[in-house]
Amino acid sequence: MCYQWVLTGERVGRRLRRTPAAVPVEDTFLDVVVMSSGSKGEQVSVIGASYFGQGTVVTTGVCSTTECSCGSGSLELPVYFGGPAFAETRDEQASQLVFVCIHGGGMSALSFAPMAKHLVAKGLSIVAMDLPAHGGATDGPLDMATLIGAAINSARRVLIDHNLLVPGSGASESSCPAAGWDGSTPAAHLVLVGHSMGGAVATRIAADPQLSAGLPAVGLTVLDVVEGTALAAADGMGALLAARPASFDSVDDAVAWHLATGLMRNPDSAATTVPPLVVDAGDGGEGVVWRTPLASSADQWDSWYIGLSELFLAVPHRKLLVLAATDRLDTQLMVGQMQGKFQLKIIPDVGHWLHEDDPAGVANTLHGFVHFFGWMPSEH
Amino acid sequence: MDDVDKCLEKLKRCELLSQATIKDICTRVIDVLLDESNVCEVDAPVTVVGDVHGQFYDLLEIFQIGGECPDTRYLFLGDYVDRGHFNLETITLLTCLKLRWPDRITLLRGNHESRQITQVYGFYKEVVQKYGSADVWSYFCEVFDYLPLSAIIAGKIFCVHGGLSPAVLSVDQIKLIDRFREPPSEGVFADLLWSDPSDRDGFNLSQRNAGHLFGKDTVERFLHVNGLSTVLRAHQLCMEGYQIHFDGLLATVWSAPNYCYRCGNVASICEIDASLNREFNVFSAAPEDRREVPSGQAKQVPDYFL
Repeated sequence: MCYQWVLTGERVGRRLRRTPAAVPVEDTFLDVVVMSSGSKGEQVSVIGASYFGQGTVVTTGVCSTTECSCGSGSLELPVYFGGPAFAETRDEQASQLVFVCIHGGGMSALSFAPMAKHLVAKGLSIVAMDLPAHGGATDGPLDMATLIGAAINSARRVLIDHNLLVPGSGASESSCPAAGWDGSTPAAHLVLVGHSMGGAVATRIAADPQLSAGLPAVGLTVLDVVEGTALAAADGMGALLAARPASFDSVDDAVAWHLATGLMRNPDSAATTVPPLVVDAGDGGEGVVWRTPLASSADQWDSWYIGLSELFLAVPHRKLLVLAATDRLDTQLMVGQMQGKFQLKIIPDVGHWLHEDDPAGVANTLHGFVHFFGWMPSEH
Repeated sequence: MDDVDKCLEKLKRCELLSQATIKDICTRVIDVLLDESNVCEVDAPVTVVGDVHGQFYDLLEIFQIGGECPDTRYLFLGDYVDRGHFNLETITLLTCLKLRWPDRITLLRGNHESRQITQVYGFYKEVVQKYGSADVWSYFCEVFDYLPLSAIIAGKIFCVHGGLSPAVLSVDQIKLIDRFREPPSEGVFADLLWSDPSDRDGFNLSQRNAGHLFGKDTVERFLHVNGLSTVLRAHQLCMEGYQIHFDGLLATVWSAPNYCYRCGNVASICEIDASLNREFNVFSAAPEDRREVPSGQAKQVPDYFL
């Protein structure tokens, strides 16, 4: 149980007396779904239904922002989505709000599962995909261009299929970052949300008009990543990754490790979000191993983060940065924040996976963000 | 007021007062603040100070440059706490000065003078660290509830922490606000503490997700309706210490040099003489040898960023 302290005021003459009152906040418990058989499509469907509402697998090409090779390779990306925007009986005239959520390095779409329930309860909708080489997605390179293309294409497919995005006349299903998207029109308010590495993906999409045309959003939210702090921590990151166990006896052990090390602080969330981070060792090996070869992505980290703060400040959308501590701001963002260039929200008592540690708190913050700018879905 | 003089001597040496003393001072200063209007009338000459944010040694620098209180009359525009390393010493010193010379120093409320903000941006944590409990924080939060919202210098210069509100055309409307509480997240009260000037005309929603952006036309209208000449406010970091907007109709004064000990900016105080001429006295951070380095500041280095 966690409590919010609410101050109640009582006037006595012209003096105020204040007494704190404890207001209990609803517990969140998520059922843990473990699937050991079934096709990928079936698995994604069941997982999607359990945590978000629906799930599907999107097949998309592997392209960079400069070169189209849609025909030469393909990625299968699970995409999960839910909320009123995806309801069968949706009032087409009513406005919808969809958060397009991009997970962090080594994570999966289920990173947003604990938060999804809170968003949907507030009448908001969510789309979250597994990026290449993460979760249930097929393997692929981890360069920024591939990540961007994967995020845009997978989200677009789901949004277009549900009439939340109307493709432009020149665009086709297999359009990619290189080919560009002509004149797609959103039929809902889209807000990009990215955690950590996903925050870099989301920011780069929002900052580039050509990429933005693929996912025309009104707002951008970045969760706990800042260029200066990321680059400063880069040296130690390799050692941290090397110090992780190479394998675990079981999925439960992997969950327990994340909690015991203090990396994650919410046992209910970790039980949901950690399983997709590991896969069976296979090849006669025992236990489970890490799904994503994070250590080998080290040569990409610079390209993920260099220039990110400047880009973030230049994004024309409304912006929200959610951090686990004020120390995490770099100088550029600190100046920008004190000049009122974006909203900063600090969530107390959480770690790097703040949307998993405090899913209700982060959902409230996102709700406040879209409410302030008048993008709330209209009442049905 | 001998006891307050003794407190001031201690504070200028960056020594903390006892919890009981702080409680007493806060109770007494509330009585002083109770009588102040939401719109204080301040005489010229006066020196106006912007955000300080717990940068105690830079506050001492301000008194060196601008003159000691009560010799110089001061008007502070809020944001005394949070972000800096000596929030307690800063706010305690200013509170004692207000108690000792109530007519020579005016303290307005900034957006950081709130329970919600100080719990997250450093003041609350510092109090618990230095006193072992949050009581002193709650004493000061009560003082914050009584700080006035704005001031007018010599009937001509309107001073506020943030800026204008779409709901306020006349200064009299500000007088009607019930200020004796935690600032709400929207409305006139929030606007006065959070708004920023902008190149776009009219009022627009602020990127901060609080307050509004207001254009030159709104300032012109406000000044005209109220018979004022300019607006002076703080709230936004200025790398050069101050910034003049709208052809001189509005100015921002920023008084925390090298903000958060790393932004590399200079700061300023706005010295207004008896004829209402404004001069921005620009200064940099107090030199290293005149600063104390705070002890026990364990910097939280984030491990993961992927």
